[in-house]
Amino acid sequence: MTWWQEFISFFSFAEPNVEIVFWGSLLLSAVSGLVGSFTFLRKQSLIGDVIAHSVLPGICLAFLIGKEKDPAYLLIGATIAGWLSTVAVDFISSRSKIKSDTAIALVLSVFFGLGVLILTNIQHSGMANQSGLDQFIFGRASAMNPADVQVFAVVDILITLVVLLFFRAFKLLSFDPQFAQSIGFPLDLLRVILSVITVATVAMGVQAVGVVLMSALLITPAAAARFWTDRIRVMMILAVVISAASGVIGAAISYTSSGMPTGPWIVIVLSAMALLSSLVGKNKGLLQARLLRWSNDRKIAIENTLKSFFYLTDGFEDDPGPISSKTLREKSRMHRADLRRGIFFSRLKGFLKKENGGWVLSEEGEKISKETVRKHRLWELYISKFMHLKPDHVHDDAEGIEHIITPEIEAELEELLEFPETDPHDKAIPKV
Amino acid sequence: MITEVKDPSIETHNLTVVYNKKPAIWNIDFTLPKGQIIGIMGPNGSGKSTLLKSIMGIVDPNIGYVRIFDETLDEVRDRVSYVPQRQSVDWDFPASVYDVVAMGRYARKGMFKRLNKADHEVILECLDKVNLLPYQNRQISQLSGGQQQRVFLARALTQEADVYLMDEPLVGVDASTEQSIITLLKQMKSEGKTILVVHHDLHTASDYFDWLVLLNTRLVASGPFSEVFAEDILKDTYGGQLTTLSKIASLLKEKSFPMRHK
Amino acid sequence: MNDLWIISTAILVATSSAILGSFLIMRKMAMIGDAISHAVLPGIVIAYFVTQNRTGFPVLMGAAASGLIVTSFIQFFNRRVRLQMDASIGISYTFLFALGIILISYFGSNVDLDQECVLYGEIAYVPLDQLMIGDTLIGPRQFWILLINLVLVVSAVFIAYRRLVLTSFDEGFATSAGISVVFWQYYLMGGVSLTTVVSFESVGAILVIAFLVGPAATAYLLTDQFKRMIFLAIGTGISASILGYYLAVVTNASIAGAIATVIGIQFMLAFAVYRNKHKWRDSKHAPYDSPVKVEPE
Repeated sequence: MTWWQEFISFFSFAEPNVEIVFWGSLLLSAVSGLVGSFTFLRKQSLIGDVIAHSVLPGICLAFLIGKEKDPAYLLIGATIAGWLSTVAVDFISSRSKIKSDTAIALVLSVFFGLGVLILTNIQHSGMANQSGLDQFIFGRASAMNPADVQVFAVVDILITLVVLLFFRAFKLLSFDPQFAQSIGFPLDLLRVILSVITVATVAMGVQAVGVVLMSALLITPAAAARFWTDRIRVMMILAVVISAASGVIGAAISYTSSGMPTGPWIVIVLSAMALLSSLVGKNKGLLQARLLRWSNDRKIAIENTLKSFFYLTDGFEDDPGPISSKTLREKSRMHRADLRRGIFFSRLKGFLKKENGGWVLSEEGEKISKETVRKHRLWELYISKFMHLKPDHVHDDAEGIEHIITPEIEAELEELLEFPETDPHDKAIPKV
Repeated sequence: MITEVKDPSIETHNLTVVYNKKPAIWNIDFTLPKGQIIGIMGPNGSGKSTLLKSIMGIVDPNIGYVRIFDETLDEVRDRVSYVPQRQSVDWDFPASVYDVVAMGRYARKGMFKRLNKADHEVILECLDKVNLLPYQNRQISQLSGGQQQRVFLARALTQEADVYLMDEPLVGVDASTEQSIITLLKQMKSEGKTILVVHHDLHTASDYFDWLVLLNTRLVASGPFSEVFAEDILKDTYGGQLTTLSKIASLLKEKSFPMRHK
Repeated sequence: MNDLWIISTAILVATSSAILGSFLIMRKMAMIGDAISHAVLPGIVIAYFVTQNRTGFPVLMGAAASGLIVTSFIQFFNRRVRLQMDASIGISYTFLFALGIILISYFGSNVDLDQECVLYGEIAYVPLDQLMIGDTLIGPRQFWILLINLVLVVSAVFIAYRRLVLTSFDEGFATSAGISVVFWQYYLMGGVSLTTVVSFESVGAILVIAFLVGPAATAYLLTDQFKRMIFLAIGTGISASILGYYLAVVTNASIAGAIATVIGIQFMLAFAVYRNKHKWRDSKHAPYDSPVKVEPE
């Protein structure tokens, strides 16, 4: 079988185990994306990290007490330890001069160290049933059983209900806790609830992806989703979708070759999605920024080119006939490359025509030309009047700003300046 | 109301800094005299600190440049000293008063030069000037706000500069400390030093400053105190932001539009 | 004799880490240390696979390369696409760590590196790999490597001590005096990366953080003087190494895990002392302030 066939065959659930892994990964990643959105918005992504590392001693102690790998026991142990770790971070950073980054790194590593101590003690004592306890460190999705998936489903539903119920409160807590408190939201209670659902998610997830990588499941989906939207609701839905998809794809990839761990693959797919989102995402994405810059440069080149016609024809009072490229080059004070680009795009858009070996503006071109000069002079007047700049200092500023003034701002400027006729250099502000 | 001076201590040209969609300072263009105490005033968020930071090269301006004694900052760094806002550092840092003041001395030294006896004497002298000599071994975490401020002043004094830029040196200090700081500044002025002070108490300004710079994102005024400190100019300074300017700045950021096309 | 070698190896790790950690926590950069210590994994695995050698120069280069990669990832997310700092760190290091684990599984039988070792090291096996000069054994290879590292760290910090302190305490003032805060930050990160890499085999990725942050934090609580803090941190780290070793013997468990546990206990004791002295001091910060220093824009 080719790799691709293997990959596809995962989704046919040919082996009974596959179905469990599929649903387990899906349920787990989906709820992590949901809960992680709040940790992300509260800029507490690293708290997720602490919790994930800190569940280890809880799991090991629960095993020591229960003497067997009862999922319920382990989940309780993990939850208590994870919760304790957040309390510890909070206590240390609020009650001493220690800053929270140090508190986080300290609690994370000490809890984990304690976990390793207990874990290795159990392993070395040759206790029966201990095999598989170490899977919590790196996770083993393939070891999930139907009972686990049922637990996941129940936890998913509960957490989703909690999130739906408290959505507005959580939203406010993330954006403006002080305001939330001022209108009487029980801030401490909300923090505890958020903390509990985060810890529960982590505790549930470590079995599948392990303590180190669990934090990625909380952090990465929300961060990836953030590149697509500014709206929290959309962001959360996207985070859940991205996360769930990564969970399933990661599980399928690891299925294609034996001995491949599931957790790391889920994280790799997630990271790839985040990276991709950061490149092509609609909101702040790199490609978007690049495109925006190109279109800005194009706009500037076009407007500057058309503007030179205004100056060369004395505000379209004269009609010297077609203007040659040579004249434009000499008189426009634009870089050659910019001018060439400006001419090219102006012509493409029909602002400029070639006539008798020279250039003439179309009606629309003339309008843009006047409009640009108009904005330039309005801005010069504005900054000389309101910012007390001397007339010989206003030109450079206006050279840049003229291209970004929107019609609304133009109207605003006109009104502020009481519909002026002339600029600070006593030149007429052209009307369009 | 912008007065230009010949042979200025500091001059800025079109200095513009835009943060996070907000213009901090816009097109600041001034020349400042030598040997005076210069107040920089304006409402909250008017860019006073940003102006100081961009003069000191701590913030890179989007546009514009600064010249100090008609040279670039790098050429005259030894003649310029900066006093940051007191809240900009973590006072829980494990250091003594002497340690912090000594920083001013060894900031100028090469990496390997040790502080010599002369340095030590300068440090003690500067501690004495701010009345902190008895506190030299005190831990900085145990100081009051006024004492912390004086530690920063002493550190700046050890630099033996010609121009001092002080960011809110009178904030959070008690009245007597404020008076002693002002006395110190006046003494420095008599030694020919130029001192820029970011300040925000209009009532006391007339006792303190020879020259006044009024800022509200844009430069509203810069000139001899008595000329600038007038009701209409103050009203202009404190009369709110230029909303159109803010809109333009946020558009610039949002569309990542170049402010100046090259 | 083996005991002694193990304890001295731990002490070497503890000492270098305590010195660097003192600066790290004063600069609020503890989590960047955490990120680097996780992220060196893929570089180590690849270099290891290629050279079949566990401690050679290539492994160092591989680790340094991935250290550099994670820093550039963090920079990319934080600066280029303006993602908040905590998430930038979280995404970057988990990605590289996951890659490392996959590489280990992929090379599988070809490399003698197991997953657990990556996290908590194999300090107990340190004495097995002895270095030879001529015909005489001169002690474990790890011991000598860590000793060289310690010498490097001590001399690097000694040379640049004043610059490091100045840029840690007051960035604005340092910049105004023409001292590059960024340069000294990378200088320090270089030391942290090197120490992480050479300590990796003995104490693993996560416990190296315990060594970096724990003793320094404990010492910070106990003194108000930076030089004293460094020496106290070294002392704390050394005693944790010795006590941790015996705790591990008694509990028949991982030595690195035991040392981290002792570090935690030491911190709790110091915290109790501190709270006793500073009862007046209460929450100055919001309970959940941002855990990572957000760079000024």
